[in-house]
Amino acid sequence: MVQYPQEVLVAIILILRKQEHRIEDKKKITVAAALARLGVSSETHLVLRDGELLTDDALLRDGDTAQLIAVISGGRA
Amino acid sequence: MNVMRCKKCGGKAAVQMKQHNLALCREHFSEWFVEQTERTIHKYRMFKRDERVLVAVSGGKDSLALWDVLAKLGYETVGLYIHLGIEEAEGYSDHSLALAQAFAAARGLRLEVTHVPERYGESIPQMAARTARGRHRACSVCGVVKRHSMNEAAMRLGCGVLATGHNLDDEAAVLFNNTLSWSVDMLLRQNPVLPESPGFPRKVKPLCRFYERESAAYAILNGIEYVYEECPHAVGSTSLVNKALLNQLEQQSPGSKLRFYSTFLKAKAQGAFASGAEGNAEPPPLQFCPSCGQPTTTAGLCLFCRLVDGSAPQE
Repeated sequence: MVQYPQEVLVAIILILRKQEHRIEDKKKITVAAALARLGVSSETHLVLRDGELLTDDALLRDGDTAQLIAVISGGRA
Repeated sequence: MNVMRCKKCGGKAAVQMKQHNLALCREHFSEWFVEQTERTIHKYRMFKRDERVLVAVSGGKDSLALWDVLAKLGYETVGLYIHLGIEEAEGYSDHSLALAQAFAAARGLRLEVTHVPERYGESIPQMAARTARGRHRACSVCGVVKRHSMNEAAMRLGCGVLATGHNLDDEAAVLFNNTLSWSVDMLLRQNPVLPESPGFPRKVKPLCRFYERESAAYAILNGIEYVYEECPHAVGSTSLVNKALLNQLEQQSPGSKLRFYSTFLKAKAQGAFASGAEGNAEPPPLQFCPSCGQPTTTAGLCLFCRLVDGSAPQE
């Protein structure tokens, strides 16, 4: 069983470009808040949890793992 | 806390589109995406049911989403994958080709492949390293090769229409760049449809009114496996910098990108960038390249032929 510091009740793993980022908080947080903590925008990233796309207001729960998918491509001449 | 709901069925929303004040569930988003694509095809008179459409596919989300939608709508399509010989990023070209082939095979669609290194003896990175044009910007050489290959394939395969997966973010980034330098000739040419001319198919962009995140959402929600990684040569490109700036603006003011692009098209239709204005001469007449036969604005070999035969500037 994972031992959290006393004030942490929610721990979420966000995977961005194959790297895991751990987000901790005292309560469930929204997708928008989690993205802001990583400094990425929902304009440029989609969030996928258990095969479902999440909107900005969706709540992330303790133990959730969500994948962030960068949607911007470029370089077309 | 209220969960965002689908505007059509009241189910759980999967995609929110702030610029349209609209959120839709998985099923209704996909339905909306297909309907909107068809509306764009009709709105700009891109092509009709009896025309064969060559779809340029890169293995990325936009082009595969486009091909999927056109096939669902019942259009006659042929896919074209251009293998650029990019080996970086764990075999980028081979990986994206495999995804395009798997997509076509799963749907019983015809995919043509132009293999640049096999056909012309050099990959895009090799061509870029050899020429002055590509030394510091492989994308520039890549663009020349892709445009030539797409035209060649369209003519060879009897496709009067060439469809590409350009989305609104692509178009807004190009528009932003051309506006920064007031390149009126480029602004005049930026359209959802470029009419056909001798040696050129009609070029159309049926996804030009979708944000990039929407074509990605469509691909994911429809189980389309696409190449997630960015082309290794695009890192730091002007288009990515412009997109980042426009997305900052979009975050602060939803709908900015859509307004920028759609009001540009409207202003142009009203004559804001009139052809023939001072300093805005008509493009030079087209001639035909004596080597490949494709139209070109310059006398003698076209830019593509000069690139591949080594007569393009080396330094």
